[in-house]
Amino acid sequence: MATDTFKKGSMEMLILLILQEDDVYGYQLTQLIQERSEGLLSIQEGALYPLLYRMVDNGYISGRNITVETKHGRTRNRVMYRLEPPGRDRLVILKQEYDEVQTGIENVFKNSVVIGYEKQKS
Amino acid sequence: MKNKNHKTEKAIRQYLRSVKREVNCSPARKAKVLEQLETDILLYAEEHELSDISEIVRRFGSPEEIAKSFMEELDMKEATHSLKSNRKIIAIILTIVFVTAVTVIVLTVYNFWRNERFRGGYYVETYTKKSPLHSPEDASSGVLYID
Repeated sequence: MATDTFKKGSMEMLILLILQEDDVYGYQLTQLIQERSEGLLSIQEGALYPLLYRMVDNGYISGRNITVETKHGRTRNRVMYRLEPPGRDRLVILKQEYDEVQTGIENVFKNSVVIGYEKQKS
Repeated sequence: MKNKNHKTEKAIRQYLRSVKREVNCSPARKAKVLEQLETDILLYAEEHELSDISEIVRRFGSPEEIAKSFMEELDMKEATHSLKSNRKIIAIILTIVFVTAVTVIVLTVYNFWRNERFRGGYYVETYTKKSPLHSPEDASSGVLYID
């Protein structure tokens, strides 16, 4: 499982990427991230809300209440998130930044002697 | 079955209470996150086994982790707003306590002064008979009015 440091920085980009395809509920985002990362990335729902609220505040996404019915017949409001035009622009910027960082890190690895790395890998 | 539902509801309530205690943000946002969490947990509980709080924590995150995420994600404006709200509440409580204390002290001193003033003395009450023009019934029956 990826560590928090890398995960947190990229979560916003992954959420925008998923919302590009369709509108989804918060809990679906956590499931889709876990499924599509093949279990390597996960975020707990409670920790996702603050990130979603910030993205809503910044205008990248919007949330609308959808009334759902529980099995016991009680109605509850669930928030469905949608990508907004500023979110698309933000996704482009984040993807560029990510590509730069990834290439930069790979270059450092390529040009450095990493002692013990190969041994650990095998 | 009924017992299982009761256990689940108890665990959810316990979890939401902890989140409410830990998370520091505006009351409106706190209400929103609690509502959203409750809905998601209830719907999740319909499909899965949720008999104790540890299962909820595993899936939704510990209250401390949620509070930490709020601190990291929310901008300074909201954090400051939250702190200011807390300070406002404290200031209002202190003002009420101060005003009550001053009122009690003033009344105590006044009562003490009044008791001292009339110690060993007496009151003089003046009675006058009201003019029959104003109230003939009372005047005829000789009722006295206190000035």
